[in-house]
Amino acid sequence: MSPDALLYFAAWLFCVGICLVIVKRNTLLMLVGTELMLNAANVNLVYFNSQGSQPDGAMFAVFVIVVAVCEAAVGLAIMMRAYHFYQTSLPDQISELRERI
Amino acid sequence: MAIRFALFSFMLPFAGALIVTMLPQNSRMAGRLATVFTGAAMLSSILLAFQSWMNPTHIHWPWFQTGITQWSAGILINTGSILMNVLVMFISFCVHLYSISYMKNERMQVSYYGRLGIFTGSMTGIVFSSSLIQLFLFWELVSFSSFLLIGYWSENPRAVRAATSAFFMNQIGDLLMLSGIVLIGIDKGTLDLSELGGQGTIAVSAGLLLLAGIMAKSAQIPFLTWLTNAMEGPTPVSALIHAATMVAAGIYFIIRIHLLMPAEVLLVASLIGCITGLVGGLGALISYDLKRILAFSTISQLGFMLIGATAGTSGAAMLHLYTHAIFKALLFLSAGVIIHQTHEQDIRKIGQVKSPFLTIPLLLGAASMIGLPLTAGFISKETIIESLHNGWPLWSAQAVTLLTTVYSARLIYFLLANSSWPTPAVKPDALMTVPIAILSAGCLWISVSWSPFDFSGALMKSLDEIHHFQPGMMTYVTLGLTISSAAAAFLWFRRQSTVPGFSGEEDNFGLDVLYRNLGYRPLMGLSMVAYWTDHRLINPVIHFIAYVQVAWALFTGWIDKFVVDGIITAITEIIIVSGDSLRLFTRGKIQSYILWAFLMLVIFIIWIIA
Amino acid sequence: MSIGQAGLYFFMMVGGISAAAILFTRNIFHAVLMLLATLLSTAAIYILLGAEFVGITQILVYAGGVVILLIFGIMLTSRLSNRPLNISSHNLVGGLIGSVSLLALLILCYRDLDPVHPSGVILYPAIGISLLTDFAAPFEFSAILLLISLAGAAIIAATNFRRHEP
Repeated sequence: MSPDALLYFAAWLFCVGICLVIVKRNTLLMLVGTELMLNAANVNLVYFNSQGSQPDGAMFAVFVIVVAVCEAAVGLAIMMRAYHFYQTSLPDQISELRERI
Repeated sequence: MAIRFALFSFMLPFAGALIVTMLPQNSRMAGRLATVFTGAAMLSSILLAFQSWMNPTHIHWPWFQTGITQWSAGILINTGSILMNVLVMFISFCVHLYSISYMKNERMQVSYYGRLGIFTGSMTGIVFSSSLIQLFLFWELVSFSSFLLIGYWSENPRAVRAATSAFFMNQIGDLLMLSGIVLIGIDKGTLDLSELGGQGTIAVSAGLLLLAGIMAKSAQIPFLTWLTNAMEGPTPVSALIHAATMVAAGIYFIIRIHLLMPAEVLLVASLIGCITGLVGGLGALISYDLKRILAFSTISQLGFMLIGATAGTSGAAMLHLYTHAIFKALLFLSAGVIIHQTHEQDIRKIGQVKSPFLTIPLLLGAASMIGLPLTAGFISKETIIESLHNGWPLWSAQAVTLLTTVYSARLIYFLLANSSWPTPAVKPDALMTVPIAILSAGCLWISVSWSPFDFSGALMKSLDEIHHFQPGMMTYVTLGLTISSAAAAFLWFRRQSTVPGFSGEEDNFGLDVLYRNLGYRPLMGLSMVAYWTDHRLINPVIHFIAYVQVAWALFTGWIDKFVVDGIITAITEIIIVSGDSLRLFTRGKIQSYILWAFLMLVIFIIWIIA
Repeated sequence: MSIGQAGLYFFMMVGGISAAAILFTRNIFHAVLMLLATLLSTAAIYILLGAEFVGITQILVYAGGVVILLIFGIMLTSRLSNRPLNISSHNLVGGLIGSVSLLALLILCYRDLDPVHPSGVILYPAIGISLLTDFAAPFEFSAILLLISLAGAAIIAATNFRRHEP
């Protein structure tokens, strides 16, 4: 097989993920994009791990999955909270970060 | 001390006018208060006469400066000015007294007495002025107060027209006089009365210009109509201003400066005096209106005085000025009584006056005017005639005397002796009687000389040039002529059923029409031409310039609005747009922040690799 | 080409296409389903690469946990607002430029890499031993992290905040 195909696949996933984070208005889809980016990293980890005999890459991938779960849980909770608070799920209508003049 | 009295008699009438003006308009007090002030002024003028009768005083002080030339004002007190001052104050006092009764039913008491006060004070100013420019100021002030007093009955359009015409005629003369004064000031560098004089073209032309002012003020020949029209004013005003004092101011002025005048000017003046005397006498002879007769008579007598002052001696003219003021004031005040009670001025309709309180003053005044012996007028008139040496002034003076006799006889006859008309019950009341009585006494010879035939003593002695005059041949000739003509006139009038005369006095026997056609109409035509020129020729140019300016202003306004403002607006727009576009990065949108951070990261990676 | 390699290409294709479909779908539920497809194909790739443990974990955690969480999120938010969820896009140009340039960059970098030869099998016992020896501390930390984050998520979602206290 062409050695780079999985790398290209991971790069593709990452780019789709970042594009989702930047482009989509919905908070939920931003979370989806984040998951995609983490997955892309996981694909790389597992791919490079398959060369050697030690399972270090796989371990990292497991931890990454755990962290991704945490991130998804907390992100969804915050999303629900923000939705209650601002009555919207669209982050561009939330502009608390802007400096008030 | 003398100066103080002079200043008192100058200031008191003004002060009186000021205080009277503060009273309510129809105040009864106004007349009495003004009379008290005038009486005080008269008192101080008499005191001044006693103080400095034979010692003339002349003080002057710097007034203002133009360039390096210093102009001065001052007070000149000599026999003439003392006499004139006493006369003005005396007549003014009598008129004030008389006015209390005469004007008691008028509404504008305060205005009347205020104007009288201003007039009296200004007249004193003329009398004492030692500088031409100072004199001119008071000269104008006198014209102005005369204008106010003629137009006193401002609801009467004739009075208003008369006041306007008097003012304008005086203004013509005053302008000429002012140019004369300017000429003298430029020529000599001083305007003090005692430093005038000289020969040559400039002196003659300046003298002629001054003479024009004198002629306007004294109603000499071209200007005489304003005086007869001025009879529209109240009769006491006519007595004070238009018979005794203001019109005499011109004569007084020429008496004051005649020694300094070039001979040519004096010749012209005496010629004008002759013509005026004759014309005025004729006018008096053919008029019907009582006041107009007296006004024409005043004109005639002023002409007579002008002859005396210029062809004879000034002292004689001054003396006649004095006696004329008294008897003409007396005649006016007596006529005022008749007019006041009958409301009639036409001698054809007045009828016979019987009250001795009127007949005696009228007879005395007329006798003094004719110049019958034992009167003051006799002495002054004979003095003038004695002082005339050469031919035509003497004969014209005689002619004036003759005319005076005839019109006086006509007046007296138809007022006192014509019994064909119903008799009005006219009689002066007490307040009117007092001034009339005082003036009647003034008509007797005793007011000028101790002896009725010897021209010496009292005033005669002091008017230094003439005290040696004695009655001469010409005196008897004149006397004979006077008496015989008076008798002939009486005899002729006796046979007349109606009063002889001519109608047309309303416009001064055509003179008003003549002036209207010669002066007013061409002037109006000229002003129409000027108006047309202004309207048709000058206005379009000005309008064009205005349009050009407006167009230019619009253009610059456009430039300002769209170019200058546009540049500034463009700059602000650029700043606003760039600010807005810069602000896009910091909208508080989390995804924008992520995008920019990500792009920076990409660029950073590219930079590291490359 | 072996069956394993063919499977790899197949699952890479399925994952790539379904990931791209997330970008272009108009329905948020479909998007989540596409995500599920991507995750499952990734899990299959892990298994084909020999990392069966990771693949199983991926299926359990992602397909069984995260996707369910996301679907619950969709249901809750759409129930609250009573209107369809907004899935429209913005920042399109910037996002596309950024991601495409990153993709190009990565491809440029990977081109020079040496080919990789997957060696073989990772054994479960090795993973278990590693977890309890070399990776014991990360394992415990991740357990604590998971606990904390789940508890925190529950607290955040449950606490009744009020907006703009008067």
